[in-house]
Amino acid sequence: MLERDESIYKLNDNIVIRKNAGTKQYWAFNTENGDHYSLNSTSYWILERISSEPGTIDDVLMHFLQSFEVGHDEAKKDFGKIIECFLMEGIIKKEGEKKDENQKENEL
Amino acid sequence: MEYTHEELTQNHEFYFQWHITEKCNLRCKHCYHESYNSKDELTSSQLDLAFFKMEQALKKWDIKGSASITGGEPFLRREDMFRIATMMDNSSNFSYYDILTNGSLITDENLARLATLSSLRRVQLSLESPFAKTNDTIRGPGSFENTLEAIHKLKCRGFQVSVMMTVTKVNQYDFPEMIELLAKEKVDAMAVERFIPEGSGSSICDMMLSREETKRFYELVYNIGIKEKRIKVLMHRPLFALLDENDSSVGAMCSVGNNALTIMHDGTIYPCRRLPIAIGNIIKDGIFKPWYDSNILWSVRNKSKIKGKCGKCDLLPLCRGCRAMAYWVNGDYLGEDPHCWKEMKVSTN
Repeated sequence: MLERDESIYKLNDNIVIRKNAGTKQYWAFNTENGDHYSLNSTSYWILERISSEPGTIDDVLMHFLQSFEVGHDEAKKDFGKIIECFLMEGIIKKEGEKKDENQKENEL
Repeated sequence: MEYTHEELTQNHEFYFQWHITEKCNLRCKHCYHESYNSKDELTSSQLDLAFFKMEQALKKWDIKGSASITGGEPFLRREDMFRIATMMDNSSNFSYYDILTNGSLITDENLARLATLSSLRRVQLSLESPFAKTNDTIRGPGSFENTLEAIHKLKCRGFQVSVMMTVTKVNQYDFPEMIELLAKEKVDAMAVERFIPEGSGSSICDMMLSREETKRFYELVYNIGIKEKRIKVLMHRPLFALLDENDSSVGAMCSVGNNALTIMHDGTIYPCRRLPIAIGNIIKDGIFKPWYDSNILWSVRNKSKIKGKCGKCDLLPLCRGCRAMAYWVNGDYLGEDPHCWKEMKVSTN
């Protein structure tokens, strides 16, 4: 599903993410309908990254691999599942597509 | 991935303190209100919308709500007050509510209407002293007699009545006589609250108890309260846990960020009425946004952020001190409760 996915992923507007570092608890909250999700640290890391810098899955994955010692293939597989779940729950949304260098040149 | 509300609360009940108006016919010296003009007061339909938002939250969290309907003087918005009360009666999400009033408008007609309310638990009145002169110095001339008359009328009609006493240097020694008076009047419950120098009360800030006076007063209340059979002395407040941490009938965690919110006359949401830092507006933001997104609430929920003596205290999970008192005295709602008398063990390492 995530092969060649150039979509830009953003946190949905009504979603806030929070952590309690002391208790190592992580959450995502929907401030409109009150839905709330308990997250693990990896899910929280992904949402925090998407929140601070919306990007493609490959962008997020690249930063993840730079931050943690995990294998690329394994991480990519896990990312796919997590992103799918976030999309299904309306925690994140796709907004536009990343433009490659050729597209940017054509526009210019 | 579903998270339960209980992870953020310690109780199975959520409390709303709902100030439906800021208008009041008394001017008590210690009052936490600063203004009584009730600017931008919610309209009747906005009150209904606010009620809907509260219900929405309770339903989502699958917990029961309780409320105090208050003001100002809530009987000054009598029709709205009774309508809200009836909506709570008809709601499966609210288990009960109290009406907090100064008692001056308890007429026979209002008593008859109160009698129709099915989920009204208690009518709470304020009395500062068993001595008219002391009470009236704080609450205004004639208020002692008026309050006693209101208590009498309510008890004659079979209502549960509670009395709130805000303790200052002026009335700190009056508690034993107060209990006797209220027992004679067959009052059901009594609560005490420390005076916090905020709002109108900031002009009498020298009336606030010292730490030593607070200790003496709380010990007095506890020693009388645990033996008292005629009146239920409500001691579910921060610092009471210091008197006996193993007695679950006393002490309570400060409710900020835990299981309560205050809704003001204009819809502004405060973490607590005594901690008047706006975290949203119920009409614009509903309940979920301030509850989940307020940095203030999250700071207080995070025990590691509580400072000073409270932050180091082994009773932190039970008490946490009064965040509002810390705010008004230290200027920091995460600071220590200035009235806490617990002596901390000093490490010799």
